Amino acid sequence: MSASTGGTTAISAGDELPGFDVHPDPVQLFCYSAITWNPHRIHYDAPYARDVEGYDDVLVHGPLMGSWLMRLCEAWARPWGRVTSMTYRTTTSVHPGTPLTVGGVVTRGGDAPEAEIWVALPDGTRATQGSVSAVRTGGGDAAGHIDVTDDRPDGGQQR
Amino acid sequence: MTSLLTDEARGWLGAEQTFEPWLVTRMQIAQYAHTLGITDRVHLDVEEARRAGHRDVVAPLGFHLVIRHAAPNLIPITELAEDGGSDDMTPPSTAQRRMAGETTTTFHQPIVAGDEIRLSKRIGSLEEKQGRSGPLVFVGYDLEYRREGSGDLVIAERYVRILR
Repeated sequence: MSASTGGTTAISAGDELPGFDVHPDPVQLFCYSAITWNPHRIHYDAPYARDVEGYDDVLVHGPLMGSWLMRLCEAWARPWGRVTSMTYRTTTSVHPGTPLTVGGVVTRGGDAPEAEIWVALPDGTRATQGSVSAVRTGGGDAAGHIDVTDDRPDGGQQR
Repeated sequence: MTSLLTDEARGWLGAEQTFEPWLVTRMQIAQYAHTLGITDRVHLDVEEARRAGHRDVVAPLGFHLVIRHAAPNLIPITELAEDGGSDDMTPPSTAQRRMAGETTTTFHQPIVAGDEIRLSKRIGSLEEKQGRSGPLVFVGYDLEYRREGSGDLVIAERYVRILR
């Protein structure tokens, strides 16, 4: 990845996003079902998933795959700007216990960069893939936090 | 060509639903951050968040999915389907499976603890296509997440649900 911490480092095509590995397990699926108030059996009731839906096991939530991609994109853009839009789609069912790699690569550099993003299975198959657009913003402190003015109380009240 | 949709279902194009404003709390943000393995202190520590220029802890990118998925399921448990799911504005059809298609999200402003976010949903497209394994229905939902009070558009999203 590009070592962009001061808001001036160039973002170039081919740069890698700060990827990470995840190992979804039943505890994480439970927590995601809970915080998204998702009572759907397919994510926790293994006999139901097998006998009624015909899967080998319960499924990792499709939105959780999207949530990991948004974690990736926010970590990528925070040092120099912000994410403006994302598109993604999950095409492969994933069961807990499957190690996943969340990653991406810049496809267009500059001050309005774009990147290709994915959640990949161990064999490299992309269970989820998509793209992200970001924009470089003016501020940025040592911790990489951008200046945000539009979510302060006054800003939030303006029409 | 066989169709999965009834004439009544085709009338769902343009249907709208607006949910009660969702009060975003520090606890929900912490739960989301921990579930996702997100450790940046601006999501967990109000002083850190304020030092970074936010008025309270800021939600990680993706937190809006909490609102999107939870809001339609805030109904009596007895009204949930046998599989635990809810209709969530799915047009009536003879489809056996409901799958997630593409999601496109545009981020305008961060979500911060204390915000009340009103989600509204509209069926913006409804198409049936002939797939290799039979007919497929693509239901396109246009979602808007607006901050109560100011009415600011915080996030806009397009989500496609596939029925087959």
